Amino acid sequence: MDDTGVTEAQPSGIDARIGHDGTRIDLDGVTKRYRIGEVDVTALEDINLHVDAAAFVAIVGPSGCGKTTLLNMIGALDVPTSGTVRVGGIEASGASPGERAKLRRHTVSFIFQTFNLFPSLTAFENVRFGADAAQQQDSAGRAEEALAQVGLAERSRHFPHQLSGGEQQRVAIARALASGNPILLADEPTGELDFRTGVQILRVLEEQARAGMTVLVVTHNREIARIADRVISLSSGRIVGDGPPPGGKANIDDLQW
Amino acid sequence: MTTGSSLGFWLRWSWSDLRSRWVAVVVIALVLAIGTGVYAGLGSTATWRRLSNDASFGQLGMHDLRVTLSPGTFVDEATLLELMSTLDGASRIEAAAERLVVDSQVDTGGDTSVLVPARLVGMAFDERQAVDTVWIRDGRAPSTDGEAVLEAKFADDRDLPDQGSLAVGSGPTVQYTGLGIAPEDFFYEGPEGTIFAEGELAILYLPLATAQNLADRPGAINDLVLTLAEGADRDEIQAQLRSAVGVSGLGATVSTRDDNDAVRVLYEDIDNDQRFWNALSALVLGAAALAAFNLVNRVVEAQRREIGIGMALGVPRKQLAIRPLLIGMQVAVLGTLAGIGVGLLIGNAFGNLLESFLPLPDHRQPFQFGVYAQAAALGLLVPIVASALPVWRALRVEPIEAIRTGHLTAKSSRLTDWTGKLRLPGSTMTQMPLRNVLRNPRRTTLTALGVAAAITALVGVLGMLDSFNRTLDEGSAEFTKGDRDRVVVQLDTFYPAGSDVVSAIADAPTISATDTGLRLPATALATPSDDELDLLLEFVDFEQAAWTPTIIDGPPLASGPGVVVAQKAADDLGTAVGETVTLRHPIRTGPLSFALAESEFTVVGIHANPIRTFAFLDLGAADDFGLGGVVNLVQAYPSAEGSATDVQRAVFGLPGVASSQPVSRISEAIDKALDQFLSFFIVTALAVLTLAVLISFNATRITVEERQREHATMRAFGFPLRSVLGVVIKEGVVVGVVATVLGVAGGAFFLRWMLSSLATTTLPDVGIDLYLSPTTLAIAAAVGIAAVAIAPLFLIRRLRRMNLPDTLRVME
Ligand SMILES: Nc1ncnc2c1ncn2[C@@H]1O[C@H](COP(=O)(O)OP(=O)(O)O)[C@@H](O)[C@H]1O
Ligand SMILES: [Mg+2]
Repeated sequence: MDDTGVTEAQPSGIDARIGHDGTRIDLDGVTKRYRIGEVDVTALEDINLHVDAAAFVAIVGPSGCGKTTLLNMIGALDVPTSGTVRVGGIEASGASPGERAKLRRHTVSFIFQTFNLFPSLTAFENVRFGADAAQQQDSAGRAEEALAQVGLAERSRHFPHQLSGGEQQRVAIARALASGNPILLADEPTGELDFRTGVQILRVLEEQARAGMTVLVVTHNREIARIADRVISLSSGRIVGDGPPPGGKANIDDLQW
Repeated sequence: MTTGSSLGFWLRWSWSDLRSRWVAVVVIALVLAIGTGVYAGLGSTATWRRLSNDASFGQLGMHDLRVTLSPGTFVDEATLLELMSTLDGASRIEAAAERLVVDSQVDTGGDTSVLVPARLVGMAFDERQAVDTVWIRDGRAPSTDGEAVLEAKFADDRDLPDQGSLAVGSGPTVQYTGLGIAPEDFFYEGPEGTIFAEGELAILYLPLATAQNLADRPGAINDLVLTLAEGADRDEIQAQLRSAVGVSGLGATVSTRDDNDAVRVLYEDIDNDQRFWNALSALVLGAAALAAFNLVNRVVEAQRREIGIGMALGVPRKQLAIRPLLIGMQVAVLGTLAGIGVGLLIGNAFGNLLESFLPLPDHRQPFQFGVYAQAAALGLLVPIVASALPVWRALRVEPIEAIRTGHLTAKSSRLTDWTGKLRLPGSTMTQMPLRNVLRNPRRTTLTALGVAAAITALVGVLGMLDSFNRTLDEGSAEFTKGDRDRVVVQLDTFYPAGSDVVSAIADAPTISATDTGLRLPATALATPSDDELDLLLEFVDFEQAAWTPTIIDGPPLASGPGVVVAQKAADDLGTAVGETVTLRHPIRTGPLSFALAESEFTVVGIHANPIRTFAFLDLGAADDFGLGGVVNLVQAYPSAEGSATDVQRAVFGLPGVASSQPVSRISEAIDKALDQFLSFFIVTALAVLTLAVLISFNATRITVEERQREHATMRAFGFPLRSVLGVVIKEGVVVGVVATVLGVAGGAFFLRWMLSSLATTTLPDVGIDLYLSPTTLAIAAAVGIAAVAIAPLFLIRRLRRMNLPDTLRVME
C-alpha cells in the first residue's frame, strides 16, 4: 500500500495485479447522503472498512441498508459525501472523474444483478470488451480463456438474448475476469437466478478468490454469505457486524436457500 | 385505477411524462411546425397574388377596353370620346379617358447616364382620369406643365432617384416628381427585339398637354381606355366600338383587358408557379411528417414495457393506451399551434418577397385558413398515428412478452444473428456502433428515412438553386463571351448592309468594330405534337463575325443553310442535330412587304445558351428569307478606351437606330428574371435546413437515451466519456451516411421530376439541367452526417451528469 495517499495515478497501484498488496481497500469515515427535495437520506454512515488483498468478502443486510451504495464507493462509481475511499493505494474519494475511470479500468471490475451485457455483442465479444476496457494485450485470447473458465466456451457466438439468465451472468463474470483487474465487485449476482444457477455463479466467484483475487459479493441472503471468509453486516447504513461467518465458513454444497 | 376518477390520474401521469420529455416533444412539434408552416406559407402565395392583382387592377381602374390608333395616326381631343358616346352600349360604359401614347427616347443624364427607348403617356392626373390611373409609389403627381412621373420599375432597375430630370429625345428636359406605375404597365414587353425588357423601356406619365408639347402634337390624342359597368357585355361593346371605328375611317385596334401583357402574365403565372411551389412544399411537409412519425414512434416505443406491466396488472387496454397516445396528441397540438406561428413567419417572408417582386399598389396577404388547415390536418394526424401504432403493437402481444427484461433492447432479428458472424477488425468498441445500427433494422431504417427525407427536401431545394444558377451562368457566359462588352444595336427596319445607317454606326466614335446581322421572329412547329414555339432567329456571319454561338452538339459552324437551336428547343420540338425543323417565318416579298412561309431547315447544331428562344442562322442564309444583303441589327464593340455605355451614347439618336442593349445587361436581366425563384428557394432552404438539423439532432438524442444503460456499463468498466461519445458518434455516422446517400438520391430524383415536368410549364423558355453543386452535396453531408455525429457533443453534459449507479441498476 502506498502511504502517501496521493490522488494522482500511481504506477505501482494501477499495475497491481492478482495477489499484490496494491489491491487493499480502505474506507475511513465514509458517509453518503442523498438529498431528495427537502429530505436527507443517509445511505452510509461513518463506515470504516479495511479489506486485505486476496479476500472473499460478503456484504449482507436487508434491502435498502446501503450495500449497493457501499460497493459503488469501492468501485469508484460514486464518491462519498465525506470520508476517504482508497483502492489499491489510490484515493478514489477525491479523484477526478477521469482518474476514477482509470481506477475502474485497471483495478476493479463489476458484476451487476441485471447483468448489463451489451445486447448487440456476442458472448465472446462481451467478454472481450472487458479485456479491451482494461487495455489488455491479446484481448481475444483472454476472452476465450475467461469464457472457458465460466464453462461457456461453446456459447461464445451466442447473443445475450439467446442465453439463459445464469449463462448471461456467467458471461458477465467472464467479462470481469477478462479485464484481469484484481478486485471483483458483485452486486447481488444471484438475485435474478434460481438456486442451482446461483450456486454455479458462487462457485465461480469462490474460485477467483482462491486464485488470489479480492472478491466482494453483496447479498441480502445470509445463507449465501456463509461461504465467505468474512461477512460484513450492514444495517441502516452502518456496519453492525464484521468477522468470519457465524458458525464457520460453509462449503458451497452445504448451502440451503 | 379503473374508477371514474382515473382519467385525472392518467392525465397527471402523462403531464409528468411531458415534463421529462419536453425537449423531444418541443423539437418534434417544431419539425411539424416547419413542415406545416412552409406548406401553408408557400401554398398561400397563389391566393395572395390573385387577391393582390384584383385589388391593384381594381384600385387603379384597369381598362376593360382600349382603342389604339394605328402608328402615326392622331385625332383631335374628344374625337374618340364622341365616337364612344354614339355606341348603343354607351350607357354601360362607366369611365373613359383619352390619352396620347408616343414612342421616344430618354437620356437619364448624370453619372449613370443611359440612353433608352421611351414611351410617353399623356393623360390626366385628376378625376377626369378614372381609367388606368397611375399609382404614385414615391414622390408626387405632376402639378404643372413640364413635370412627369417615371415608371417605377425602370427607375429601380436603373437606380434612379425618386425625383430627377430626364432629357426626352433630343428635346427638352422633363422633371419627374415621382415614381409610379399604371396598371397596364405592371408588366410589359420591351421594344421589338429587346429581350428581358425591365429597365430597357422608360415610360413617362405626363399631363396630356406636356406630352402633346414633347411630341409636337398639340391637341392630339391616339388612345382611348374605358371601363365597363358591372355585368356589361364586353364582347358586345368591343364589337360596337370596332364597327364605329371602322365606319369613321380610322385605322385602330380595339383590345380588351385580357390582351394586356400585364394582366396575362400576372394572372397566368400564378397557377403555373403554384404547381411548382406545391410540389416543393409537399416535399417539405412530407419530410417533416415522416421525421415526426419516426420520432414520436420511438418515444412511445420506450413505454412498451410499462404498457406490458399495466396489462399484467389487468389494467383495461383502453386506459393503457391513454398515456402514450397523449404524447402523440401533445406533439400534434403543440406542432399545429407552433405551425400557425411558423406559417405566419414564413408566409410573411414569402409575402415580403412577393411585394418586392410584384410592383403592385395593393398587396393582400390574408391568412389562408384553408391551406393551413390542410397542413394542420396532417400535422395532427401524423403524431397521433405515430403514437397509436406502437401502442397497438404493444397491446397486441401477451403481457409477458412486453415485460420480459430487455424485451425492447435485446430484441432479436435475423440480421443480428448474422452480424455475429461479421467481424470487423479492431476492438469490441469498433464492432459496437455498426452492430447497434443493425440490431434493430426497423428502427434504424425509420430513423435513416426521417433524416433522409429532410435531406431530400434540402437537396431538392438547394439543387434547384444550383440548377438555376448554373443555367444563368451558362446563359450569361454565352452572351458575354469574348473580352469586350458587345452592344446589340437594333435598327428600325431593314437597311442594305452598305447603307449610310450601317456605316454611320461603324464610324461612330468609341466603336472599334461592328458585325451586321438580322433578327427575325419565327414560329417553330413541333413534329409529334401540334405545339408551336416562338423563336427569335438571329442571322450571324458564322465565319466572319466576332461573336458566334458556341456549339455544344454538332459539327463546327460553317456558312450555309441550317439552323442552330437551343437544346431545350430541340427537345421540345422533337428534333436533333442532323434532323429537320419546320419554321413558319416572314419572307420578304417587296421592299416593305412580307408574307409568311413555312419551310424546313436542317438542325446543324445545338448552341450553349439555355434560353429556348434563341436560334441562329448563317447570314448567307438570309437570301432564303428574301433578306439577302439587308440587315436590321448591328453588333458593336467598344474601342479599348470606350465602354458599352459609350457605344450606346454614340449610337443614340443616329438615324435608323431603334434601340441598343449591351449583352452584359441581358445577363443581368436574366438574373433578375429568376430572382423571384431564387429568393423563394433561399427562404425554403433555410426552413428545410433548420428542419434537417432538428431531425438529426433529435434522432441522436433519442438514440443516446435508448442506450444509456450500455453507456453506463462502458463507463463502469472505466471507459472515459470520450470513448463512449466515440461509439455514439460512430453509430450516428453510420446512420447518417445511409440517410445522406438516400437523401441525396431522393433529392436528385425529385429535382429531375421537378425540372422535367414542372419547370416546363413554369419556365418553358429556359432549359434547366439538373446540377448539384459540391456545396449542396457538402451541406447535405454536413446535415446528414456531421449534424448527426455532432449532436452527441451537445449531449455531453447529459452524458457527464448521468447517474451511473442509478442507470446501472435500472431493471429494464
Ligand atoms: N440515487 C439515490 N438517490 C436517493 N436515494 C438513494 C439513491 N441511491 C440509493 N438511495 C437510498 O440509499 C439507501 C441505500 O440504498 P442501496 O445502497 O441501494 O441499498 P441496498 O443496495 O442495500 O438495497 C436507500 O434508502 C435508498 O433509497
Ligand atoms: Mg442493492
